[in-house]
Amino acid sequence: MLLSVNIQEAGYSRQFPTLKNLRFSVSPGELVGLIGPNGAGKSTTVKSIMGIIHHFKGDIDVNEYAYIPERPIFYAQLTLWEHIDFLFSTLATTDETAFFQKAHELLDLFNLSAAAHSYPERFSKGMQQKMMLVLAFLKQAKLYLVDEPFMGLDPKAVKKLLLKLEEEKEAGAGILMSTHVLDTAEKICDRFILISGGKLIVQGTLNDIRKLSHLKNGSLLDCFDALTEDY
Amino acid sequence: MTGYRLFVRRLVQEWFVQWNILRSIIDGWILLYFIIPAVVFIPVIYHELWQHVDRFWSPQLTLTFLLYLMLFFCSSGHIRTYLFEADQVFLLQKAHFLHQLKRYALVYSLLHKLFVTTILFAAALPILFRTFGFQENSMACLFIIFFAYQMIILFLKKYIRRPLFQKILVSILIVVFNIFIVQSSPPIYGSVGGCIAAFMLGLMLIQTHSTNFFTRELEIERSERAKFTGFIMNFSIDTERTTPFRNRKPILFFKKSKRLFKVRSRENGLLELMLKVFFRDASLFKSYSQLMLLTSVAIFIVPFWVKWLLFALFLFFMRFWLNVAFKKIIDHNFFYVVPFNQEIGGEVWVRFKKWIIVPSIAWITTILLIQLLLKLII
Repeated sequence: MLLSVNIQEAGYSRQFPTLKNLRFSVSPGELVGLIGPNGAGKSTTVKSIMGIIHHFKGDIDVNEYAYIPERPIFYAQLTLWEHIDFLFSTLATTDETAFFQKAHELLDLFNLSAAAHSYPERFSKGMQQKMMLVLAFLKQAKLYLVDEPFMGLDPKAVKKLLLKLEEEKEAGAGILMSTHVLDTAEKICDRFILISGGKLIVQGTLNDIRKLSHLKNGSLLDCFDALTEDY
Repeated sequence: MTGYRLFVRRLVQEWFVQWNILRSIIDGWILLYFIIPAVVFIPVIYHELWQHVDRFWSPQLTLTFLLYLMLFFCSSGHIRTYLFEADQVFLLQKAHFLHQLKRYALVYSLLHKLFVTTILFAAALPILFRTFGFQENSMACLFIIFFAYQMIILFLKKYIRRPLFQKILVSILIVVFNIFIVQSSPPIYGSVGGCIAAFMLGLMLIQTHSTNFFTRELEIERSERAKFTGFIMNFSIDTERTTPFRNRKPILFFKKSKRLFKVRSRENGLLELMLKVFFRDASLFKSYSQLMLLTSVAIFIVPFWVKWLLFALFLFFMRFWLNVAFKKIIDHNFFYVVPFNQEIGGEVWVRFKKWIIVPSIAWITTILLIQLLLKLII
């Protein structure tokens, strides 16, 4: 197991916890979609796993992970390449040539090579998001925590991201992806965790969700709609 | 709602915000030890300046030098618009409202500039009057040409985004205006100043109709709102920096993202990040340079025994300030994306401190030694 989550309570204050009684896990070679309406607690779940939530009760067992944030986070005063350089200094790997070879490949893949020595603050939103993807994939972690990865990406970049996620999955990585883009999630995720109002509504494969929502051939969106209509 | 009411509402709102920020830093001690003495001593010093101008202004210092100083102090500021990001959604399509808001904001900006210029002239009045023999008419002409200079600066700053180009422009204009004032007579620079001011006002009024510079105007508003808090934020670990970072690429050092340290290690990696962020952060580097320059100037002026006390104070304050800067850089959210080993933080802090403090100590010590040598020679 790469990730095992048992949240009894979590949130920004003790009085009003955002999440209650949430249990799930992510295994190697599995892409799990964390879905739910706005304010359901998806980002709070990811933050709880990262250990940066103010109020938390429960147990999290997590391997070393790569994190792709919802909004790009970077130093305005460092170039894209300097961020990559810093990443290398934090990793256990000593194979410098292989790491930077991979960095060049990823920059090429996401069309960022020409911007390698520029400050990311002047990039477009999409380019900044691509930078986050490059940093995450360079880490080559066993587990990926991906928070709304499609925001700001053009269709080509989305396709490349999906291919990369597939590659990592096949290489044995586990991926937890929080997203609103249900049609894409339906195509790529092996399992889903549907949360609403901070509680687990259902978890399982698309078929499990269809059964629970009584929509035999329903799409993930139809099932989502049926299961969250009270929220 | 009219543009005028919207302007007044936003202006009052900003005054409240600024006042609350001011109140948050002014406690009883600051009031007792800084503000009350300043209120008491400034009128006394000003009276003394009128009585004995030679004590404050050496007769060897020329009018050109005074004009340079005055023009330099007049060069700050922007034309305010009091726009907000949300105006893109609500106000942008209501051209009449937007025009009214910008027109009142322009009038307010110019009145504010007039007020600041008046204070500057009031401060320089004893020197202009007593040392350089300016009379009422020539003083009025000088005031007009100064105001014209400021209007040009305000107008062009809207179109020139890069701080470096703005500084070059200000330097050129300061030299040009200084030469013009010194070389011509008051009636000439007064009337030329009047014409320039009228022309610039026309251009500014036309500009209030345009929305082509909406993004730039928002950028100016953001920086102007943050300006007052900038100093406080430099000393606060919990506050995020809001001043936009403008350059596209490194200008001088490490253009191709070259490394500072040849040997790759976790400690060198983190230290390199800290140093690059420190030296490229305009507000941090500016504070660092200002601290060194002010101490250097103070060391030149104060009596000999106070110099050493000042040096000790400088070291104490530099260490305190650097600690705040370090914590601010290391508390960045980027480390959620690329975490570092917390155990190396202590070692990196020690090395970071050495990299920044040693050059400043070397600089101040050199100043002290030069003074000591000069004292021995003379």
